[in-house]
Amino acid sequence: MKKIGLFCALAMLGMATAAHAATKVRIATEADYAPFEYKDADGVLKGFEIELGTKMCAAAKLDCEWVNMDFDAEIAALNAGKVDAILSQMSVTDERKKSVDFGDLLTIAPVSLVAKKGAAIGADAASLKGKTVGVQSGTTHETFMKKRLPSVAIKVYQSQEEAYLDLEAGRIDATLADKTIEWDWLQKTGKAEGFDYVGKDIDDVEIFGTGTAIAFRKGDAALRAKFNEALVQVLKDGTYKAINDKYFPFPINGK
Amino acid sequence: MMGVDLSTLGGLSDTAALFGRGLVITLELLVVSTVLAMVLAVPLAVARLSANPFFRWPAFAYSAFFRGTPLLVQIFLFYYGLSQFPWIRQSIAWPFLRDAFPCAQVVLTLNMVAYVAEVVRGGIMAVPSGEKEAALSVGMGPFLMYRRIILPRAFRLMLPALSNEVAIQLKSTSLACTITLLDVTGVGRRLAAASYSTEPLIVAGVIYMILAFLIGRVFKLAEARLSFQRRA
Repeated sequence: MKKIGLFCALAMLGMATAAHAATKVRIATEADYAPFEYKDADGVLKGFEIELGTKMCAAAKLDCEWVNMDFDAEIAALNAGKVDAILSQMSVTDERKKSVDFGDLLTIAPVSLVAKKGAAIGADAASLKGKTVGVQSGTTHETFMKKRLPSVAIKVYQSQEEAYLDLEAGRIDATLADKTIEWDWLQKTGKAEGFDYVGKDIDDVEIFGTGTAIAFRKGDAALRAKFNEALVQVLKDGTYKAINDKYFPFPINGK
Repeated sequence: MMGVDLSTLGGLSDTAALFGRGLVITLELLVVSTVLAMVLAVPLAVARLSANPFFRWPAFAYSAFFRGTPLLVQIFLFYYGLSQFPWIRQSIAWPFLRDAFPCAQVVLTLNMVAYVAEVVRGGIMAVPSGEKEAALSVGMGPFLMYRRIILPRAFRLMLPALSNEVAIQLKSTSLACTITLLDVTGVGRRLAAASYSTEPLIVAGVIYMILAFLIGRVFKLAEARLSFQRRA
């Protein structure tokens, strides 16, 4: 009997911890996308969205927990219930709206090619003929290359960092990503190695969407409303601007 | 596989064609690395067993590196690491290391050599010493003794362990997808990313299972053909 009692106690303890864990809001991110989300040398999560997300959780009085995973696995993880939200510079697109619900727009960033400074290329098939463009798997940048420039050779990477490494090694001629992301790399290493933005900023609302937002499971209106309210608050009290100015010399919410 | 938006996958007509191409790459990686590794493992194993430290120690160091570090780290070091050095980008090895496919081929081979050499070493050591003494007593030199007596004998003893190494190598090839190669795993991951589902990865898993089963059968047949019982 004693043993059964102990077993029941353990089972209840197990259930209690499970119930406790369920009240945590698990947010998926991919910590390989500096300066929005990355790990410092000590393995601590840092970045614009990590700070903003943490402040928004505090404003909404939510107990949040970051879950680091590959970008292209995030939506599947959300819909499988492994996480409750995605804060990972995810662009709002019609394609993704079929699988998730988005909160209000968080950032608005233009898209640009990066290549050797002064390279005579732009986002058109003629100037990219015979060139290879590197993109990150599962991003709108990958979709753009496949839909708008299907004749141009692409290389698909698990992380944007790997695309930069191959750009430096000369395995690819250019990479396509958000200017905000590229700005961080250009500042740190790219400019010193002779790389810069090339061509015009690319505007394609159908593919890139209108901006990025937090993604929620379809129908999870309660959590979405809490984060939308928190966003209004951090915009109003200056928290958003303070974090923005810390990371970028330009506003990244289109204002 | 329902709901996979193939229009985002470079206009290729269907999922089967994509997996077909992935299968070709996986098999090329497996067959080339396995054949090269089996050939190169013999001299490495002999060097490991050599009484001469000039052979024994480099062979030991090679083995320690390739068996002591993760294959994923080795692939990244060869693909992203070496390309950081300008002198490597200007060297004659660059055309080989520039492209992901030959680079993966090289690393998979170098890695497997280290493991197969251990199997060969074990096989050589398991050959009864009486047979070596007999070979020496009839006046065979070390080279002839290895070729006629030790290696054929060791090969039969090694087969079950080799079967294991090839099955492991099959799964090791999946790491090639981390350097942009579209092998079976690479195709599965890209389809999964495009469809936000895990079904393509299940398909990839089934393909590996079938291949592993076939590898096991081939080695079973080879074992049966080479066994002493049937030859007696």
